[in-house]
Amino acid sequence: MSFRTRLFLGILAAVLLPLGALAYGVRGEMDRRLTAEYEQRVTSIVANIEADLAALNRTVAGRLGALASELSRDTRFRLAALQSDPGSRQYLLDYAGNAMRLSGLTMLQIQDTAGKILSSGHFRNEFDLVQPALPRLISNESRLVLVRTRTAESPILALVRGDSLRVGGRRYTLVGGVGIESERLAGLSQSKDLSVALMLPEAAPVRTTKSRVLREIAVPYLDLLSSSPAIASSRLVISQSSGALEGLRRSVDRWFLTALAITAVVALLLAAWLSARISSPLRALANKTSEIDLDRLDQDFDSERHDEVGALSRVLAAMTDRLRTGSARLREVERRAAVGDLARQVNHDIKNGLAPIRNVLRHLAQVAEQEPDRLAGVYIERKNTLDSSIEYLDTLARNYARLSPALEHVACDVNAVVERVLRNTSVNGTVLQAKLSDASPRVVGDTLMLRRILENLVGNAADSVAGKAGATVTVTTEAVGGDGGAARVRITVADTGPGMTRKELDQAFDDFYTTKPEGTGLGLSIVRRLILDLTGTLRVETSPGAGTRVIVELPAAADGHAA
Amino acid sequence: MRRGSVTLALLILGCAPKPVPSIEPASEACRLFADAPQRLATVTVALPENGVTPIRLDCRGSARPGLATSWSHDASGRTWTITLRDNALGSDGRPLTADRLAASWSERGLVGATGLVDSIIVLDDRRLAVMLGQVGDSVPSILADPAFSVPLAAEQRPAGVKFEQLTGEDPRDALDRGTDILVTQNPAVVEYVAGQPDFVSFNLPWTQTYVLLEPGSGTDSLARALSDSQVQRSLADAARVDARPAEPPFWWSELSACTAHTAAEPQHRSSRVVYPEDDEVARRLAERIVALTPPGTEVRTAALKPAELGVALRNGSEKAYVLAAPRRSLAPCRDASGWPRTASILPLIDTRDFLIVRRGSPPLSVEWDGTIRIDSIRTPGTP
Repeated sequence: MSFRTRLFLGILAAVLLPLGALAYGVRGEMDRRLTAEYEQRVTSIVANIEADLAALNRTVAGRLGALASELSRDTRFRLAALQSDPGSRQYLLDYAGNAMRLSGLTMLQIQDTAGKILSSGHFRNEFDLVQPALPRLISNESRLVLVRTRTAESPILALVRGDSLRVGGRRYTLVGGVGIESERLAGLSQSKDLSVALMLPEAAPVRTTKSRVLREIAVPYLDLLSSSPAIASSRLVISQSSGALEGLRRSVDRWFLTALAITAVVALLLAAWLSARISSPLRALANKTSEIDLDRLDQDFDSERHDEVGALSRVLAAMTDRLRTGSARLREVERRAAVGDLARQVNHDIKNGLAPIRNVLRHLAQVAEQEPDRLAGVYIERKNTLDSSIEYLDTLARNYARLSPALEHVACDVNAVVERVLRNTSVNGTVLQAKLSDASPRVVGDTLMLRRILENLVGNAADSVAGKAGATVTVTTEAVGGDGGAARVRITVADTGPGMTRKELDQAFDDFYTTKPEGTGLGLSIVRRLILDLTGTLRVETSPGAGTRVIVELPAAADGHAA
Repeated sequence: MRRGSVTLALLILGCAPKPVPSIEPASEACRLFADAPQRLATVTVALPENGVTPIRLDCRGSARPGLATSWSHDASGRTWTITLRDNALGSDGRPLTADRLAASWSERGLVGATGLVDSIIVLDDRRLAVMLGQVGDSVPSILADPAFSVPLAAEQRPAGVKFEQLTGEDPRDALDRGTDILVTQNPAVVEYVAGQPDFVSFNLPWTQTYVLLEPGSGTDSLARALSDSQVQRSLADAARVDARPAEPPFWWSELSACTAHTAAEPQHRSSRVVYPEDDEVARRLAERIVALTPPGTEVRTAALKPAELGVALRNGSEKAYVLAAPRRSLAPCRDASGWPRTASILPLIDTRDFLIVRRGSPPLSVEWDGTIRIDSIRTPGTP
């Protein structure tokens, strides 16, 4: 796992773990408090329901008592009930309906001792039917009884109780009460997340995943629609809908997850930015360091940073400087060793070149001495040998002349060298430009070496743009550094040629690598060595199609340095 | 007879069959007389404003001139030549000629194979020949059916009579604010006017019979529970109107000759006893029928809008239907055309309305179908 990945994961964990712990704790605390509150409310609601039922029982009893009292004094009722007076028949049939509506009841039935319905409020045309079970079973109950009976349109449920009266020695029963519709049940719950349901005896127990039963209140039950009515037990079931609590939990979870997600995204971006900011300079330093070798000590480790990365850059820059100095010394040693080798090689080569000449001269001396008249002829015969040997030596001399002479360390006018090189460069259709610093910068070095460096670089640039219309080669000089840093002179040779790939750039400074048909492959190699000899740096900026910029930086000459 | 009501005074004079085409316009048959001379110059009546038919049938079924002054038939007995009165004006004020009358009937689908008459020939402005579907009696009584009525011009209605409609209004309120004549089913109105000397109430003829149509048959038939005579009498108590157990004859007993569509037997029949939503008597009868079913059965009542009831009748998809039918019918096939053909028809009760009349109102007459007519109104003081 990389340092960057570890850094990234560490920041994420530092942000997300505390937030997750907070969410877990808040959720648990909320759950405990809500459960306790529900328990308290349920106890209160159960007490209220029981009080409501008791109050309802008293109310119904009071109204039935008033009706019984009124009915016992009603002459038309007496005529209809006792004497079957036809003129009072409709009055009797309508009596229960009118009384029921006036007394605010939803069920009222008047029956005689045999159970015959004399008048029915909730089902007016049920008159004359015999229903003995209702008064018989109700009369023994002091509580409200839940009765299931019918109207013409549908069955109804009502909480009822009974009363009785005596008229003309006969006993009549009044059974009345109020309907128990879903609205009334909903009103009992007094809360949206608590529900009160009526469970009849034949109903299955309440077991749903959506709710849990909190309490049950038993209510006597009588089903008049069954074939054999009997008192049974129904239940008022108070249940808590888990939907509300679950909804609250889901809402809290959703908000925490949202906060977690937002925090995670922010932390992710922050971690990525921080890890990239911390690791990328280190990776850049590592890349630069990996490219350093004895032939390539021109990496720039300068940094404006004042942190640990800046310090590391400066350490690496100092180390590179030391390597560069050591490398120069090593090259000097190598050069001196090479001069010895070269002397031996020159000795050997000259001897090889002189041997044929010596042989010809000995032959000519021998002919002049023994056969002088043939001297001219022999000379003509051996002249080719002489010429080839001389040409060999001449070539040899020119080749050795290319080897570097001893360095001078004087102040060189860079602008003057650039101008001279540009004037001597032969180009065909290429524009050569000089953008020279007004400060006439000078470097410590050898004029001839500086000229050879520029001739090679300008020549290469001119060759790369040869034949390309509108091509330019620009040489720029400028003074850089100073004010705390080492003063240097930067010489930039830029062309508008085809540029180089990374692979081509990596090979460009190798010996004998060339892309030109008649090239020796030594130009840039020599340039690199010359620059290193002058303790300078070389950097190339190039890419295919974008031209090439070769940037040479050499130590600037101090003001007092001799020209 | 109810307390406070006066016995219906139906004077049956000239109701014996008369030779066709003679009529006696001066007959006093079927007139109702309040026990007081007419003294009101104008009256407000809460009665339906009916048009006029070519022939009127009084309460005894005798033909009276309406839009036609005379009628005669040919040798076949099917084609009747009707002569219209010469002063009749249509609702637009233009003369009501024979061709306009024929065009009006044709537009209403009364003429043709499916209509009540086969064809009509306009002979001149006042005469037209009507070919009936079958040989009639001594009068073309089918032309007294309200379907053949046409509205008359306002100036041809009885002068001094103002018609109004009691839409949802308590009839007692209407009487208190000045209505002089109205018809009601509510016994409470009769009771209300009994103590008021200004009003007289009449029991009108039995004009409606409520029937139970039961498409299905079997052991759970509702008709079985209604077979007991005591139970049938209790239906009148349940209806809360002036009612009696239904008495024959019943015109629907001879529907076999009628052609009618035959609906497929429904796959599922409901357990509902349905009735028209605006018919309180039908609702109470349906409730009584449900009350008479044993507890625990699923039978219940349901009110249907007219369009829903029509569909339910055609499909025969309900357990039973409680409907009001006219006591008499000139076109039984037409009147029973909406009933399920396979249904058993059980007559339940006959009902009649009460007529409340302010004393001093002009004489009224009762038509064959129970319609109340005001023929004319005399100026007070004239003989």
